[in-house]
Amino acid sequence: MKQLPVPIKAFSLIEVMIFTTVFSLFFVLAASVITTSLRITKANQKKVIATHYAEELREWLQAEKEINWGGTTYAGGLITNFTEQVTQSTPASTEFCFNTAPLSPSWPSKGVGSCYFELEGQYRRMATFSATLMEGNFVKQISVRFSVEWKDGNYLYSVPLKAVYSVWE
Amino acid sequence: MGIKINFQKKGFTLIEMVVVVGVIGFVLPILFAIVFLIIQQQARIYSLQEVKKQGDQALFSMRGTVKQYAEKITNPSIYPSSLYPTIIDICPVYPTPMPTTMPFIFFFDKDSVSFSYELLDNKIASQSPGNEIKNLYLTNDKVKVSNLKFTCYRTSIFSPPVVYTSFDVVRSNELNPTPLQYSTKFQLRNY
Repeated sequence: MKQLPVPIKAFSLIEVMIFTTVFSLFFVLAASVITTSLRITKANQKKVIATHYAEELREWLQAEKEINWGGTTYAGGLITNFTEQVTQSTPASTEFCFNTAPLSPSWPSKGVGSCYFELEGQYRRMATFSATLMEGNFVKQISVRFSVEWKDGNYLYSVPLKAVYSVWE
Repeated sequence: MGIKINFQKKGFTLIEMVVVVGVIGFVLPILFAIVFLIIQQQARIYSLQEVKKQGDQALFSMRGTVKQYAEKITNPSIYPSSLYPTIIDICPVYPTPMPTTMPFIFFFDKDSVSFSYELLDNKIASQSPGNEIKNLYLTNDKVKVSNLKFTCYRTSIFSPPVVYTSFDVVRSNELNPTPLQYSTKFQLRNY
């Protein structure tokens, strides 16, 4: 009586390699998507707070402008009003670093050279002022670019905001 | 001559089952942890947006109303009465130190009708008995407001008062809430 050999069922090497490659690719892609998704979510969370800081500064400057507009550019000596404060570097832009929260009643010194990420330990808040002049040293309007920035690894995120202040608004 | 065919029962071996269950047991918790993390982050963003929305609205409402209608400011201890027949202004000229921040102050409009904002049940409530407004909430139950403070000063004796206000807002049902701090100042239009 002859007994037929039972074939052994198994995958070939090439099948196993293809499966492993596809499986690994899937996991790598999934991990990448998840990492990116988490990073974007985290960035969005910080963006909400950064927007809040930018808007807070805009409100503060609006109040400063309403309280004491002034109207002339800085000509040296004691600073007495809003336009003098923000035209200290005219005709170049005047920059300030507002890294305190809540904002202190007095203005910081001009310049952003030492504006580090110290606001709540991770943000920095800057404002750049440009003056549009009328005849002489009279200020027609002040354009401001706000920027709240933070770092996440090698990425630098920023929330920009713009405003224009003039005596007639 | 008969042929004998070896019929074997089809099925998985114990080791195959153990490997499969082990892999599933390893992958599923990781998958659930990631999904939970993503949902948690999304919920935090939603909370933060809600907190910001409520805080912005409250601030916008207070600033708009006070700027537009308030003319005089006084505090509860010298509220107009038989003892203080006139409205005593409390805002000193800067750089005199600003008055200590108070949980609420009274604003008076051109008809000397008072209105104020105070913290009630962790919400900002607007009050103006003269206008029949009582407990008009500017925030809802989704957020908790705390540390509502007011103070004021003026830049010169004839200039309108500058009002400074601040408050913190957090999401009501958050376990470790991080408050969003609000602070602003604005000058009254009338005085």
